[in-house]
Amino acid sequence: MTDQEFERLQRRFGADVSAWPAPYRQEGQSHLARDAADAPDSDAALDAMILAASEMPTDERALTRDVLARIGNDRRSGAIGAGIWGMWTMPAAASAFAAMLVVATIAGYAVAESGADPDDDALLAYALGGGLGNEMLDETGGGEEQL
Amino acid sequence: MGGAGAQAGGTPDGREDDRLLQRVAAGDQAALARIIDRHGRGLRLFAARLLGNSGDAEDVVQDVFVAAWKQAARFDPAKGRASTWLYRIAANRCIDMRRRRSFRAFIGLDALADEPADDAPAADMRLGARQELASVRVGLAALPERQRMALLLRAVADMDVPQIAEVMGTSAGSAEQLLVRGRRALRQHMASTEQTGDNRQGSMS
Repeated sequence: MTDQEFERLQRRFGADVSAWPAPYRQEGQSHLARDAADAPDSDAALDAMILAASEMPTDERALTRDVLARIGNDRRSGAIGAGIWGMWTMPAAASAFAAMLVVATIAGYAVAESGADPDDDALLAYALGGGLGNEMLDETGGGEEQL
Repeated sequence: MGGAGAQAGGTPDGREDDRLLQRVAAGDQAALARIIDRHGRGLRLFAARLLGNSGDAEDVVQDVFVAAWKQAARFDPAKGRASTWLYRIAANRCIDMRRRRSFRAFIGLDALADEPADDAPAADMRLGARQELASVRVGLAALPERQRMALLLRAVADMDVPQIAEVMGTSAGSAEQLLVRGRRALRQHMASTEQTGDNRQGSMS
């Protein structure tokens, strides 16, 4: 740590190095210890070397930006999920949706029932190239004679 | 060095973190940004050196702060310090990440080899300038995971033995043992590296 970095951290976190967050505190105290030419005990010296060996550039602003973006995304997807779930938990919306399903089912059955239901022979004839409409007309007795 | 006792319980440092987490629990994003400013760097260094991969470390640290945002209301200052809580989340995330990477390597999706946390070690070795630090990095990477974690919590996060034990979910005695063994193994590695370097220099002269 250079003197300039130390002063910048002092402006950022205050003059009391012991109140700085780790690992700035470690770095600051190592800096002060170096300045005072203190001889640290061997474990402390090894710890200082481990800290120095772990040094790498970090960007807290970018980290903050990324974290807040992730929180925003989570909140949006959570809101969509909550909206869908909320619809199910609202009695009016749930009953309206259920009623719509029942009406659609009944309508489907009604439409299917109203149409002519060709039997297996008619379908076979249709598959072999005959007209489905003619076969069905024959079944109802009003059709022309088939060749 | 930063005495471990210097940051116990009710220091201004710890109290500020507690207050910030209370504000985070109330949905204050500025307080979260302040916590990231205070602990982001330490967590990043810890995770990068523990995992040996700076990309994974970035993901882990983001996860830690997202978890802090969601679970800040669960933090109880009476049970421990905010920084200990954050490092515990980070340690668990790192273990999960490590297991995931091992599994992916096992099924052939990933190469198991670690990416260096930064380019510095190789550069150090090449230039011969900061060989001691490069040796520490290599020695740390060779340590068992729990010894490496204990050493990093001590050196990077400036935690004392009870705090290390709390983060690692173990007893203070076990944490002390991990520190002692880790330091011993690291010193042995550094001594052997130094001896190799001396021998190489001797043979060249």
